[in-house]
Amino acid sequence: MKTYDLIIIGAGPAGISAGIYAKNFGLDCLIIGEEKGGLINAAYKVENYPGIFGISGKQLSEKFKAHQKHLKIPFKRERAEKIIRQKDGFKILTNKNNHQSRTIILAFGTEFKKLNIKNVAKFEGKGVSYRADDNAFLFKNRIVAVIGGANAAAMSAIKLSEKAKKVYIIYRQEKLRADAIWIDRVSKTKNIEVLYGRNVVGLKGEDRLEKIILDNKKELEISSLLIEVGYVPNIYLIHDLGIRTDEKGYIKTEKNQSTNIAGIFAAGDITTGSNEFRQIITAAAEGAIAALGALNYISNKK
Amino acid sequence: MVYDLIIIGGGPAGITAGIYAARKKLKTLLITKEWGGQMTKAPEIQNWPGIKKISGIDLINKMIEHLKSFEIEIKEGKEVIDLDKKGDNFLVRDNDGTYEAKAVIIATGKIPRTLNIPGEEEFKGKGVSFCATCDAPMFKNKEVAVIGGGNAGFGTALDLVKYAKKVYILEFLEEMKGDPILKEKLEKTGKVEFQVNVAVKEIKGTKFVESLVYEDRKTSKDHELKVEGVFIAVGMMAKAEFAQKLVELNQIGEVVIDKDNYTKTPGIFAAGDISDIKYEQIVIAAGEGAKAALAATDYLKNKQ
Repeated sequence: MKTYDLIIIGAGPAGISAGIYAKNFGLDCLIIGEEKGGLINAAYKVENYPGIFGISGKQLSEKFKAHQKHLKIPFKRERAEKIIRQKDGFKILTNKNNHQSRTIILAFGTEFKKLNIKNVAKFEGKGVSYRADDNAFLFKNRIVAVIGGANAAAMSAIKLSEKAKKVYIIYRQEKLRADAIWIDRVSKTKNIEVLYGRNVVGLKGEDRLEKIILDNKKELEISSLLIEVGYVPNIYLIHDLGIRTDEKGYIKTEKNQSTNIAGIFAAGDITTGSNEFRQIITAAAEGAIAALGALNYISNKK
Repeated sequence: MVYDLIIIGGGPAGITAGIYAARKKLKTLLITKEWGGQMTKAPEIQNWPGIKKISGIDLINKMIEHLKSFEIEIKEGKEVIDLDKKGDNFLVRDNDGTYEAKAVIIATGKIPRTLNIPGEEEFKGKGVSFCATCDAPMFKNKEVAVIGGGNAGFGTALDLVKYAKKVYILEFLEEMKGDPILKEKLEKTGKVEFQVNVAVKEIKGTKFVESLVYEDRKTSKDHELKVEGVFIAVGMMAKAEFAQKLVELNQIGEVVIDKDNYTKTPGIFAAGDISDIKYEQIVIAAGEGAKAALAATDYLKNKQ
């Protein structure tokens, strides 16, 4: 079996940036991922990635993909399922293949956080969604609701308001925590109503979602519910490896993005590296640092 | 008037900090002597994720346009000469005024040390380079010289041996100062010639670099070396003395920060090459700028 210098697991901004740097360093590297672009695909607009602005998350994702293809960085659409330590490196088992590598960068990011609402699983894909770009999310001239109060929720509400008759934002706090620029836009959009200090406690409907029940017992008739309450780290891969994480499951990294296991680096939203800010640009920066870390690790071993 | 935040510097770290601060609606002033700093010297950047290929100048122009699409006050062509405290706030003085802010981000970057010899300025971008990572691919099968035999020079040469036919490393002192391991690596390529006791006096050419003239310091004789590229790697300079009353500077003048961009004075942050972070890459500086602006936002929130 071929042994790569570096295998990057995850193809979001951190993974692609790591790949770009690794390729430029002349490392023999492979990116394994399920979805190029990762979570940014779901972003309505990206306005804070320096130099590339006024575009949707999908469009930015396309640019990352094009960059990866242009540099001919090998990519395999596979799901990494297990990492095994072996002499001089690691074996990675995916749903389709086995691979070997001297070093690894973990960059598989986070996934959408789910809420513990009664019946929520029953309506997933039938009115309940976690991403505003969901095709199944039919909202034209309908009344829809978004749960959440951060940037993602505010952005999605604005996007939905362009087509929906009415959009409720339901947030448990008394003030949205999105950037001021998004809060402004929300307050200026006539068909958005924010319900502060509220939680959704139940869902009703025959086959599809029809109603949501709030914690003040009030019921709202809506056709779709978008849950945008943040993200949780993807930890399925690292359990057996003994990689150190914080109490929430984010991988602890050093300044050079190394983890507690020699040869394994981590970058992007999965790590604690960005002071919890988890931005596209900080993920890309960490990807670059991790690739440098891998390069130095390999050079020192030779 | 008191600003929420003053950002000093207009490179990728400062501009990204500005974008983030403006989006948080902080009342922000960005003061910079020039835009882009070092990256403007890169003719071709291939590692800004999302853009396959772009010149340093085009990329910085996109960043400036991005920054200016938000509400932010900018003073260009101004050099900050002092940073001091005023109660809980800070006073930033440039060559024509003093501005007050609740928080400050220092992102002034570094500047390469120059040789100050004839031809150096004239052939910049025409064979004279300060960045091998950026320019090495343009010297495929060519003969080039690296000036400086420290780790920076060795690193530069390592980038160059991938492309160049031959690399001369010229060191002013009696011996090479870089790590022996790196030197060994360079020797193994069979492409590198090391010369010590060399004082480079002039870079010559017509349109592009054609040769350089140096004095052998032992014999005091001048020699001409035919090369098409001259990579100057005699170090970088961090210039943050204006802030030294409030921040800690390390031995080489960099601002000492923790991993979240805080300096020793609460309210003063630093980002990018001026800080003691080891990595000098555009995307990393930009990431640091974002982190610093968000840290400053948190700081201001907690102060309220």
